[in-house]
Amino acid sequence: MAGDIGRGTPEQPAAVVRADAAGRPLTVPLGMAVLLLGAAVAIAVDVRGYREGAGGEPGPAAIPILVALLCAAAAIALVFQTLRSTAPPGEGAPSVFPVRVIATVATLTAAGLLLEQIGFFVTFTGLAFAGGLLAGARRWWTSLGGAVVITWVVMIFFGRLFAVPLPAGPIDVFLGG
Amino acid sequence: MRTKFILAAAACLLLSACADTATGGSGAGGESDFPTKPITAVVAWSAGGGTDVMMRAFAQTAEDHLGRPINVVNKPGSSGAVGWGEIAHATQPDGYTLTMVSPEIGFLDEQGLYDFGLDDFTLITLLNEDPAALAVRADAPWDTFEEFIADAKADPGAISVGNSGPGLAWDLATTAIERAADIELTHVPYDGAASATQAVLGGTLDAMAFSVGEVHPQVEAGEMKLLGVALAERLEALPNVPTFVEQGYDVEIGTFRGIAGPAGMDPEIVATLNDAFVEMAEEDTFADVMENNSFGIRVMETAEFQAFFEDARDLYVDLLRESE
Amino acid sequence: MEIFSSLLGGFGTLFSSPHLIAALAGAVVAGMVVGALPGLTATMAMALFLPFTFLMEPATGLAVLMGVFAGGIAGGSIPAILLNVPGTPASAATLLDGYPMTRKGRAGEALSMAMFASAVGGLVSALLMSVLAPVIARFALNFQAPEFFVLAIYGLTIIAAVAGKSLLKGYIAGLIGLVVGMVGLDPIAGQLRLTFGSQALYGGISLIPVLIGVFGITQALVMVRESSGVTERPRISGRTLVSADDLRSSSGTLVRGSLIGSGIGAIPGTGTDIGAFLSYSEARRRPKGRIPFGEGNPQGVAASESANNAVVGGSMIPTFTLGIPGEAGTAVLLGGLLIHGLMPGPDLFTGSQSSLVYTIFASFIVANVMILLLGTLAARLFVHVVRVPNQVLVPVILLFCMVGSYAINNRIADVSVTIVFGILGYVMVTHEFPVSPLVLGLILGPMAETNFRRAMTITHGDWTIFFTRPASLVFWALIVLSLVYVWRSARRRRVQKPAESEDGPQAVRPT
Repeated sequence: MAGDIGRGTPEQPAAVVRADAAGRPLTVPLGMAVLLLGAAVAIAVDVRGYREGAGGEPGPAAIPILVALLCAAAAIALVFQTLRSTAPPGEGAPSVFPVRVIATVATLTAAGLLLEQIGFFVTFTGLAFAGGLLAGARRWWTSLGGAVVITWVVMIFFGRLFAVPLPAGPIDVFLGG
Repeated sequence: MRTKFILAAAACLLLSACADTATGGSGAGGESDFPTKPITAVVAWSAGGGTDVMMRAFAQTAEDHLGRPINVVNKPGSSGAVGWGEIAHATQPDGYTLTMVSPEIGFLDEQGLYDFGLDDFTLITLLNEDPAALAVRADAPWDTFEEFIADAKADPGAISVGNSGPGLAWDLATTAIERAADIELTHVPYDGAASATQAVLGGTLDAMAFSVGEVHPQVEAGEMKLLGVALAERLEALPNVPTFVEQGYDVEIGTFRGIAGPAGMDPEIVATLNDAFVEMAEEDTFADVMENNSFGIRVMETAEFQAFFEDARDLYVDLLRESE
Repeated sequence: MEIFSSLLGGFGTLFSSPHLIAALAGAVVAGMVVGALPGLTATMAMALFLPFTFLMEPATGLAVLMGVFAGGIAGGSIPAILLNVPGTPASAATLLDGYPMTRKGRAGEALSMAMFASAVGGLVSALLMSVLAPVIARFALNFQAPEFFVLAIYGLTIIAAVAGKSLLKGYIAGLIGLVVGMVGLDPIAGQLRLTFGSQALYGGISLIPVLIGVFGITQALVMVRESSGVTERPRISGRTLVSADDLRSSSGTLVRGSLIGSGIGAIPGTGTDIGAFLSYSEARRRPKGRIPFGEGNPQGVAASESANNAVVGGSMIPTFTLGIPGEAGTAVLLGGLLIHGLMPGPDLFTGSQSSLVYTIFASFIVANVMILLLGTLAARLFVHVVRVPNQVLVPVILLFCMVGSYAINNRIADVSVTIVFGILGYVMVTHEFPVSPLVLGLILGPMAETNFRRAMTITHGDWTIFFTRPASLVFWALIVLSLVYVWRSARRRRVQKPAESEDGPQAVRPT
C-alpha cells in the first residue's frame, strides 16, 4: 500500500506554504484542533442548564465535562505535535481537496437536500451520473445510462422487495417505485 | 413447508389483487365509499419491537375487514417523536394514514420531548392494554407486596426498581406504587425490559416495574415472581397473582395501544374504521399473535377510548409533576 | 451423551426434510445479500421476515430466521474486504486487514478466510450453545452494570491498537466518537444533551449512518481523489482460496476469536461489533507471520470474522435459556420463538419442545456450513469487483450508501448524518486520523457512561462496586495489560522510527 500518495492531482498543487513531513498542508490538523476546542466550548456552554444527578449518581453533566477537558487537552497536544513536525512542502505535494472531491461533496449535499423535493429517481440518477463523471468516466452517455439503470434497480430492490418508502416524485410512481 | 409459505404468499398477493378491484368498503359496513385505496400504517418505533409486531398482526388481519391493503411503514427515531410528529403535523386527516398510539403521546410533550399532544390525534379504536407489574427474583425475601412495603419503609431508598427510562411509562408506574404505598424507592433506568431482567436475575437490581408480558417468560420459568399487578381485576392468564387494588393500594396503571389518525378526521370515516377494527379484533389470527406475545387484548370503541386516554393522560401528567 | 443424541435427532429431522434444507439455503443467501448492503442489516431482514414465519412450521420459521442472521453477519465482510465499506457494524474490524489484503491483490484469500472464520466461529458457538447453554447463561448473569462499565473501558483501550501511526490522532478520533455518542436524551436522568434545540437530534446520532458515512462515503471520495491521477488497479493474485499456511498460522486466532465471540455473545447487551473488535485487539497482541497487523495480515480477518459469527451463536444462549435477548437480532428471534408458543427457559432444552429446539440448533450448524460453501463460491465471483473501474464503483457506492442510510429509519436526517460524517471521515483519513476509533468511541462511550451511572444509582454513589466484583477485576487486569502493551509498543516504535520513515508515506484509506 505504499506509493498511493502519488495519486493526488498534479493540476492542483498545494497552495499552502506550511506543510507537515509528508507534504500535507497544516490547515487540517489545526482545523481539527479548532474543532476539538469548539466541541469543548459547546459542551461547557450546554452543561450549565443540566439537572443534578439523583441519589448519588454523578449526573448528566459529569462525563461531558470530563470529555470536554480531554478534548481541550488533545487540541493543545495536536497543535504542538503539528507545529513541531513542520517541514517544507514536499515535491509535488498532493492536494487533499482537488476540484473533483469538492464537486462530489457538493453533489452529495445537493442530493441530500433535493431528495424529498424532487423524488428518489431524479435525485439519485443525478448523483450516480455525477459520481461516475467525477470518478473519471470518459463518455458521459455511458455514465448516464449506467446511472439510470442502477438507480432503477436500486429503487425496485429497496422500494419493492424491502418495502422502503423511498421519497417519491411523479416520475418514481410512473417507474414503479 | 417452503411450499406452504409460497402458497400463503401467493394467496396474500391474490387477496390484495382482488381487493384492488373490489368495490370499496366490502366488510366495513360504512355508508361512504371509504376506503378506495391502500392505507398506510405508521409505526413510530423500529421493526421487530412490540408496537411493530402488534401493528403487523393488526394490518394483516384488518386488511380483510377494510377490503384494502394496509402497508406498515416504520418511522422510528427520537423516542417516537419522528413518526408521531409526522402524523400530528404533516398528514392529511383523510383516513389513509393511520398510526398506533400509546400513552406517551399524552405526556411526553410535558417534558419537552414532543411538540404535539393527545389533541393532535383522532383516536379510533383501542386494541391492547398491558398493566404494570412489580416483578422480583424468585428467591427474593418478599412473597407479598406487604412484605415489600415493610422493607421499603424500614430503609427508604434501599430497594432499587428498574424501569425503561426516566419519565417514561414504567418510571411513572414506579412513582404510582411509591405514592400509593407511601414508600421511597430508587428508580434505575435500563435500556428496556431485557436489560432490566438481566439485572434482576443477576441480583444487582431488586425489582422491576414493567408490563406483565415482558416478564411473563421468566415468571413461567420460575425465575421470577410477581408481587402485584396494576389492574382493577386479576388477569385471566395469571389467576394466582393478586392486584395492588385487592391488597388495598390504589395502583392502576400500565400501557395501552390503539389505532389513531391525525386530528380532524371525518366522524363517518372514523366510524367505518372503528367498525372494521372491532370486528378484526375478534379474529383468531389477531388473538393468537397477541396471546403468544403476551399482549393483553382490550377493545374500546372511539368515544370510550377517548375518555379512557384522557383519564390516563391526567394520571401520567400528575405523576410526572410529582416526580419532578 | 444425551445432548448429542438430541442434536443428532435434530439433524435427522433437518435432513429428512428437503424443504427445510432449501428454506435454510435461501435464508443464508438472502442474509448474505442483505448483510453485504450497507444500511440493510440482518436484524431488519429478520424483522421483515417475522410475519411470514406465522405461516410456517415452527422449525422452518425459526431456521429461516437463524439462517438470515448468520448469513447477514458473514455477508457484511464482503464489502468490508473488497471496498473498505462494512456491510454491517459487525465487519467494522474486518476491514482493518481485509481491505489492505485486497490492495495487495489478495482479495480472494481474504474473502475465503472471512467465510472460513465465520463458519468456524458459528460452529464453535453452536456447539457451546448446544452443550453448555444453561451453565454459560448462569455465568453470564454475573455481568451487570459495573462489569459493562469496565468492559467498555477495556474496549476503549483498543483504540491504541487500531490507531495506526499516531496514537494522539487515534485518541482524538476516539474523543470525537465520545462527543457524538453524548448527543441526545441522556438515558439515566432524561436530560437532553448537545441537541441545541434540534428535535432531529433528541434520539441521538445512531451508529449505522455514521458508519456508512465514515467508511462508505469517505471511501467513495478517496476513490474520486485517486481518479484525479493515474490509477493503478490492484492486481488479483491467482489464489481465490486461503492458503494452508495461513490457515495453520491462524488456527490459534480462530479458536480464540470463536471463544471470545461466544463469551461476548452470551452477555446480553453487547453485540457483534464489540466481539469483533475485542477479538481483533487480542489477536494483535500475538503477532505471527511477516505481515504486520493493519497491513493485510490474514489473521486480522480471521480474528474479526470468527468472533462476530460466534457472537450470533453465543447470543442465543441467554435468549433460549433466560428469555433475555442479547441484542436487536436475537430480540426478533425471541419474537419468533414466542409466536410459535415456545417459552424460553431451562425447560426448553428438556421439555416437550426440546426436539424442536435441537432442530433449530442443527439448522444453525448447517447454516454455518452453508456459509462456508456458498460464501467460498460467492468469493470467486465477487473477487472481480476489484477489477471494476472507479467510474463504476463510485456511483454504485454513493448510491447504496445514500439509500442504505435512508432505509435504516426511513428518514432524511440519517442521510444528512451520513453525508456530514462522510466529509469528516475524508478529511480525517487524508490526514492520518484513523476513523475506527471514532466508531469505537461511539459504540462504547454511551455503554461506559450509562452503566457507570446506573451502577452509581444502585449503590447510592459507592464507587467501590467497580473493584469488588470478580468479573470486573478480570477486566481491570486486562486494561492494565493493554496499557502496558501500548506503552511498550510506543517505545519500540520510537526506537525504530528512523527505519520506518524509509517506508514512504502510507496509503490513504479509512481505518
